[in-house]
Amino acid sequence: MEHARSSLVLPAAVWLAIVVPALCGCHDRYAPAPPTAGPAPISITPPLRRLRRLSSREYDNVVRDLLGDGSRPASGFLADSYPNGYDNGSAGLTLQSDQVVAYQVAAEALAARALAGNRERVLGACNPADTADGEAVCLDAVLSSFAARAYRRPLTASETQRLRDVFQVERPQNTFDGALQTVLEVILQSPQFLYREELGVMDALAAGPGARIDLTDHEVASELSFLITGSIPDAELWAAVEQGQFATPAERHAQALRLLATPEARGAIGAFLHQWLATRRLATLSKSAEVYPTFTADLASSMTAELDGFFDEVLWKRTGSLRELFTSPHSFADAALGRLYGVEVPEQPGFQAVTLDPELRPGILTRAGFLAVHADTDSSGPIPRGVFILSAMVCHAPSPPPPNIPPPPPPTDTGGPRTTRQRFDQHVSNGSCAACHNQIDGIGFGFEAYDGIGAYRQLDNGLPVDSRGTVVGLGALDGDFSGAGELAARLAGSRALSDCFARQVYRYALGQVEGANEDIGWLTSASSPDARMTDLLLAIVDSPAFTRRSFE
Amino acid sequence: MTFRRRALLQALAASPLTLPIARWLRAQAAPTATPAPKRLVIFMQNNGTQQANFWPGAGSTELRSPILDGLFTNPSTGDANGLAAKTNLIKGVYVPFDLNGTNGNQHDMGFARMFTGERLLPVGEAPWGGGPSVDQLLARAWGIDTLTLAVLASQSEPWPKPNFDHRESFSYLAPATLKHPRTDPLAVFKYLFPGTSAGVAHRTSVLDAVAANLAEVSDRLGPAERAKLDQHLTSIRSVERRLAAQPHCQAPPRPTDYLALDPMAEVSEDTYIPQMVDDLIDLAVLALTCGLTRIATMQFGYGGGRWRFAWENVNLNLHDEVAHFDTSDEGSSPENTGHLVRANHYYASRVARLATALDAIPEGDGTMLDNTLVVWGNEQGRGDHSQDNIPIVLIGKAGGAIARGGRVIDLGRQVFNRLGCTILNVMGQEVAGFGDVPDCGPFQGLL
Repeated sequence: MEHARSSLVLPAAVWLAIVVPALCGCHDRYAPAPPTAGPAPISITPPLRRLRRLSSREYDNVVRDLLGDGSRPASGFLADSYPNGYDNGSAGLTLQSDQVVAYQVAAEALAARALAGNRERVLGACNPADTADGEAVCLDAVLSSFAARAYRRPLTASETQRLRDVFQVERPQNTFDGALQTVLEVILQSPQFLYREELGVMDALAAGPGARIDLTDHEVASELSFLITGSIPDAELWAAVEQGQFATPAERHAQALRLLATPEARGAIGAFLHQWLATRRLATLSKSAEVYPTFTADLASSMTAELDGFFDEVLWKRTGSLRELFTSPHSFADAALGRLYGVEVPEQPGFQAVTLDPELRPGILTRAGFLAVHADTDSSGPIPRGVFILSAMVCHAPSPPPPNIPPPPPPTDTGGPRTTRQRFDQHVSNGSCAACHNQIDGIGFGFEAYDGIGAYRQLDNGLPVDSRGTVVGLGALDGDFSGAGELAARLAGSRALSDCFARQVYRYALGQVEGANEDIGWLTSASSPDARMTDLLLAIVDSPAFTRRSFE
Repeated sequence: MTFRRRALLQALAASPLTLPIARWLRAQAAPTATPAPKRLVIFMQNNGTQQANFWPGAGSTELRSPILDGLFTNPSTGDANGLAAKTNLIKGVYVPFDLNGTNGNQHDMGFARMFTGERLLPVGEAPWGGGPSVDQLLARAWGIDTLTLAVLASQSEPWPKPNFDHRESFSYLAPATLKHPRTDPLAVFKYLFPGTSAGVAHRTSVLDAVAANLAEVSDRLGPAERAKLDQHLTSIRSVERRLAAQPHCQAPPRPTDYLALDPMAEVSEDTYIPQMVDDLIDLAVLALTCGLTRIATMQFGYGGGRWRFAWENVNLNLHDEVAHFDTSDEGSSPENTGHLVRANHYYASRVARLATALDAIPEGDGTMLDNTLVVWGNEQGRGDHSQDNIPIVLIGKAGGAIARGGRVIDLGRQVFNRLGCTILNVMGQEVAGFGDVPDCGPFQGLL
């Protein structure tokens, strides 16, 4: 759950003034600060932090990178719900017993497979049979190296001792590998592995409310790699931290730039975009078989694959900007998508680069996967399309619908056939509905040239499609438009979109929704229609919000 | 084999992991073993009932009505099944209108508040439950894990439904933290009856070491983080207990693998709903009978659900095309009322499936049902979002705490918080209030 955050912006000296008297028993918490040589003043209030449990996606990435195990065991985990809208949130996430069992089963299988097939990941070059004290040497190596990678920091003395005890109790009745496997199972089920602490030096908790707590270098490195690659620090980042080369803003920035160029970053940032755009729902999307007989699980996965390629193209091969994402006609299609888009693609497996009609298919808003997700199961869905653009793209969520909404009239009755638009037209003719639906439908109707699976159409229910729309109540975006292409161009160049995108990045990066009064101007100022989207990740890495937190 | 078990227990004793479990729940000693432990079952439905066809006529102890006939009669003979004498209906229960700044509506007020007793909690603007629900409070007090079941699939609006994460479960572990229901009968079966005791000692030892790590991490964290780890530790302990417990009965045959029949069986298919509901209810009966849990909950669809009830010859989106039109207690049209009666009669008959099964198991001087409280709740009173006269059905004697049945208790309006208070009281937890009402007491006229 989210707690209200202070929006106070205070120089560090004032924070010291709040904290220090509390420690010495003085109750005048807001006394003026004495001149003091504290940390340099910073311009924002670092957010509160919450413990974050590895998401299923992160868990799979971590065991891949730590153990070389690509079996994706988290596909069997319970689905978590994430109030920040992204699968890496920190609110909620308590653990129920079903998940304890799932972790147990996964850890047992992972540990067994690692020692059977990927020993060097755990033991390095150490061979317990090499010398008389080989077992002790190898156990030390596991605890100081492998376990530290797993915990994303060096172990405390008691953590080391606990794992040693596990080994020593187990060893007399088991082989070295058997005992070590038990140690691995403990590591993989421990909170130090399953949760991202990233909460700063423990002793600082004594500082009390209002204190700012610096995260350790290990924690910042972990935070950085999870942000950009969705996984634990790679060898190079880990080595930099261990060697003290990750302490300055410049060093952190350089590591962030380096990580952004890795294949893992493509996967992780693509996953973020799929979540923001809700296109990850393609994996479970279903449509009416009567209305959309061509929509199959295969077609849905083609749509996902197209978007993967499109995101890669936009982010890494072109300008990487929001404008590119919203206007680029470049994409990828296999034969099935080629038929849907009406472009020539050979009837053979695989994708090829295609250039779509720049007026009908510019950017993400007109990609089949996006349109199919934001649609009803048996029709185009102007309402979900309008609501989604308002909520996720300009951060202007409409109020929820009131009770007692009559269903729309059927597509065809005694009054003859109707278009989808005509069915929903009463929204804007009915006074109580009109307040919100002028805004929702005005946007949603602009997409009427695309049916419920994203195919272009000129007729709806046998009648001509009307895809004129209008934007109201959104300031600079307001005005009539004709078709989704015009809307996309208007959004692409807008401050509303780039500001909202910054909010989405914040929620993803910090794992929580920004506070109602929280000023994230430091981040929105890094966002613009033509800035690289990944620049926002760098802005976060460079900010004090990334390396400090406020004590609750 | 244990890893310094004593040291671990000392560490746990020293660590302030155990938080107060509820504002109004007094600390209490661990339950002593008794021949017949108390048990709790909660059924939760959405979209209200049909008022004129739910409540029995005044003075009747048979509690018959078109909807309740599904609960109180044998479906093959039409004869009374004996449950009425062990049942109390509470009339007049209401949920006050209070969105607390969320973007929710009455579905959420009923769904997320009924068993938590708390105001809605805005997360962003989404309406989440504001605290742990009564089943989870009791589970924590008893040191056990609940069996939390639901069928969420829906053809009209498949689950997961975008931006409605909060309607997945009425059951809450903590503020804004759902207890996720299990929805696949085969997975529930595998969880309840893992089939082997091999490795139990090994797993227990590993979990002991994990628990010690939890205690160590917890010691350095603030209260909010500590509460998360506290729940993690509770879950580990309940897994350990389940590993240690020998079921009192043989494993039943495996249920159907619905996901093999159709990968969308838990998402967008109405086809398997009745079978999955029955399988889950039967597994709940087994879990209770076999001593694998003492608390089971079963949720019919997600909050504000849209089942089509084709299996009851309705075949309409119940929320949009039926319930919303039920704009008066008498009903809006014979046809619409008929649809609602069929859907609600179905729910009644599923509650009966469990209650009659428990009533057929002798226990002590009576039956297992006599030591159980079965609650059948609803997120609304009437499908047009009325939050008045929400029907509350209490079946079973709760180990003697509820002495009489065969009653419609109608003492005017009673705030819904009394439901949680009633449940905790009859289950043996002395409380004066529940959720955000500190002193509402149990339902008037019940005890």
